[in-house]
Amino acid sequence: MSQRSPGAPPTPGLLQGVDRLTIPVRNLAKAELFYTQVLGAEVVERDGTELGAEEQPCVHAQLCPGVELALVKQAFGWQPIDTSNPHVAFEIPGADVDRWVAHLAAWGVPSALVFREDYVVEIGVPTRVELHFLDPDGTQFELLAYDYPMDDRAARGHYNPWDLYYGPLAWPPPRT
Amino acid sequence: MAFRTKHGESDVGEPPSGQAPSAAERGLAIRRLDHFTVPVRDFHVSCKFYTEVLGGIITGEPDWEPFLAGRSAGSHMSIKLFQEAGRLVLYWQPWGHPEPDQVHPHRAFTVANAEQLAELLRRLQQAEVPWILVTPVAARPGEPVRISAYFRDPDMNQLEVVCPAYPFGAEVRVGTFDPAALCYPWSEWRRLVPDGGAPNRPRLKREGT
Repeated sequence: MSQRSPGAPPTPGLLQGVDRLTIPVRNLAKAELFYTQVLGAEVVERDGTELGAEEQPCVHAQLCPGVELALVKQAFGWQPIDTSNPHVAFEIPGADVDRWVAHLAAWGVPSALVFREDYVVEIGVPTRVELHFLDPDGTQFELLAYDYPMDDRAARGHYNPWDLYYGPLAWPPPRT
Repeated sequence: MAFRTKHGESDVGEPPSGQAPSAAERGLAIRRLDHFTVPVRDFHVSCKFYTEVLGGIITGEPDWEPFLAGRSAGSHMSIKLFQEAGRLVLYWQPWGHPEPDQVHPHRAFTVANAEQLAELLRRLQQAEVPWILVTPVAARPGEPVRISAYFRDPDMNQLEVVCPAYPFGAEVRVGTFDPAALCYPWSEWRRLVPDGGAPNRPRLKREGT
């Protein structure tokens, strides 16, 4: 992708920042479990509501500095598994990528590690990598690092979205 | 940690901490928002909306070569839409747009003050984009309230802009609203922009032709 402004990043004038990103979920308790335990969010408000055609119950949780998620109970509007947009992407340190893969797997969440074709560099050289996975309701997430050492294990460009599916009824995995 | 809400549901019980440590227990944390994507049908349409109406700045142009070569499902365009960290990515995906009565997922942004919200509403009005001002609880006329402007982009992706203190008045709706009332035809925006914002796809031949 070409960059129109290669110098200092431009600054838009009207909108200040993100108030919150809303995520549709089937089950609030299950969503809270996923976002707090698996992704590390902290609950800000458990008994919230979002307005729409009706007052929809929700849980507000802060996922990282300045970004709050509203997990909203909604009975429809799910994304097909092989449709990658909309999605939300957050940055993690490259040193944590392998541990995130193991952490997601331990919670029964399949993931795909992807190097984009634009970023094909020599083995060992720090580069951009994407870690794709789904929440229990099928909402697509991406964790990305800009300083992950290139290796030959991850996919380049493509991944199979069906490999990420695990289904809302099958999660969380049973205790051992 | 409680997993019951006032809304009554909890079929999860306590977190299975005996099975897997939490992200916090592993010392894993998300650093910051990088981007979020919305599916769009035509970059010229979306670019017109997000730059001219919402004040965003294009920071990355689409590259169609991987798509045309069959190595990618689409292409994308980056917009710096707000001042804080993070960017919007418009992704060419001519399917998967939200339904008229669907409110979530959506993206809510902030403006600093009532003047900036008024400027946004003026731009939406000028662009003939339907919007609605909503607050959860009524107040006295002129009393500053936290307020949300709900509207959609031309592809019907739901957007919200929150103002921390906006004078309550007759134009402000209290409580629920009809999200379908915010829909408008994408084709009207498509007529305003030149061709080239989406790949030319081969037309399907009819049988016998």
